[in-house]
Amino acid sequence: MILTNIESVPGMKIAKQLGLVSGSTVRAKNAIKDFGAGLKNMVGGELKSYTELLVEARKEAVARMEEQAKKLGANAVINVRFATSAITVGAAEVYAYGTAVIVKPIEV
Amino acid sequence: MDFLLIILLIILTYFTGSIIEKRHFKKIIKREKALIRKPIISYGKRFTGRNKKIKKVELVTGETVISGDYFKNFAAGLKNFFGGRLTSFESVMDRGRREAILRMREKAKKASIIVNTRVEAVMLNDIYTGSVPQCAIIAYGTAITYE
Amino acid sequence: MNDDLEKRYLSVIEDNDNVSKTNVLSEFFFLLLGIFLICSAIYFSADYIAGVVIDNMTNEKQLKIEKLLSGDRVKTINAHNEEIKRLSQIKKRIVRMDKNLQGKSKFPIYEADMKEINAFVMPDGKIYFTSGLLDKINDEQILTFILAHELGHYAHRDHLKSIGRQIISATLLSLISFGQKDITSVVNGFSFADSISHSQKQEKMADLYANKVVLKLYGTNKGAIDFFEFLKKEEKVPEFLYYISTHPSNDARINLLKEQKAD
Repeated sequence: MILTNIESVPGMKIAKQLGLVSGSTVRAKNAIKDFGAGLKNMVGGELKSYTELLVEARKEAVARMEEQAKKLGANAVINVRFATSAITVGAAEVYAYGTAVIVKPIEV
Repeated sequence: MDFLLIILLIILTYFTGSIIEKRHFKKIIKREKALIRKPIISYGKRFTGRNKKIKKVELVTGETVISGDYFKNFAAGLKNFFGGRLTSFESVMDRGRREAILRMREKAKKASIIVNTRVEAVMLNDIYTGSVPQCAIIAYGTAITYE
Repeated sequence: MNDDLEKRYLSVIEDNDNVSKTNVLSEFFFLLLGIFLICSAIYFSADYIAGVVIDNMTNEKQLKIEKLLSGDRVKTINAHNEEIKRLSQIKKRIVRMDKNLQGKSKFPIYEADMKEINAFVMPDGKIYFTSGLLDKINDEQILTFILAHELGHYAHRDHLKSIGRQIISATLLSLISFGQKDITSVVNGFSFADSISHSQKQEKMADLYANKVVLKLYGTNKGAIDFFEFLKKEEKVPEFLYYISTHPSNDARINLLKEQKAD
């Protein structure tokens, strides 16, 4: 499945639009890593455990969005956007949405 | 007296924070210099290269979670009372953004150009309780590889 | 990419345009200094206002407030009746010497059932000597000094001034909301230091008052100096702890008395 965050797939033309698809997930790390991150928070710098949390959440959200697009019969999702928010301390929601389309290569 | 504990934390985290910050900036500058021949652009609707043949199109993302330290938080609280720029947090946000964008670019090393990049930041904890803020930054764009 | 463009890219990378060039540490110290100055202004005005209000208070109002502030909760016993009678005689002589003490409280003296060496006066003028003190101190000069010290606190209206000061400065500080919890602890630290220094000043003034009384009655303050030497040996508290104590250190009080040997 092709994903882009612009309004077209370069080198292809849009044959049909199938509508908005989205995927979202809420993830939390376990309490031990939370405590470690709390300490690192005092000291400063990057919180690697939370970054992993965010990466996993993002992958999962994109995967769910692709699945919805597949169900509709699309082969690409264009204009993908992300919206992230914090649900509670130590938990983040990632929401990915885009337009599912069927694209065909441009006859040159 | 928790007054003394606070003073101790401030002194300790000032030093750790500034060491971490300097190291991080050095790494960022090194990686940005390595990618200097591959700029990225923030628009996508009318990008150059319509005539070239396209090999691959891919959505690339880079994310990071970054936080200030106790000293920065305390200094920002003081400055907040008097008003003005919170200079202590400017470096934190700058590092976070540049790091996220770098990670995105490093994932698309073989691409020719990354178009329509967007950067979003979101706070991960409740800043009103006075704890040190943590910020998650995500950067994403479409990587295009020409033939 | 030509070299000129690459050089320009390099300058964008290396100059941290999005970060201020100001030194974070020096800014931090200026901010602390600012908070410190604001707090000092508040304590100074609280002191001044409380002083003005209380010094110009009529006797009736003062007595009414003092009654409100006092209680009857100190446990008393009657183990040293002779000494209490003697102290009452001395008290009458001191009250005759100072117009400020006349027409107010009767200053009844009681013995408090406590083992430590201590004496204190309540806002309404009731004076308590602990059993511990009456057991160990018999010298008339020393007892006079202690009694005059407590009466000095009353004459200077120290209780009222302390309480008034606290109320005013707490009100003023709460009007300025400093924001986060951390800064409030720093401001509390300043408040603590301020109240300690004020309390030590009050003790110093009471010592000077008592010194004058003792010099007038006996011509010497050697008794008082001996008392503080005795306390030094009894208490065994390290000197530096007196920085955070409500009383000046014993050495400081001895030095003060030695300076004031002759009136």
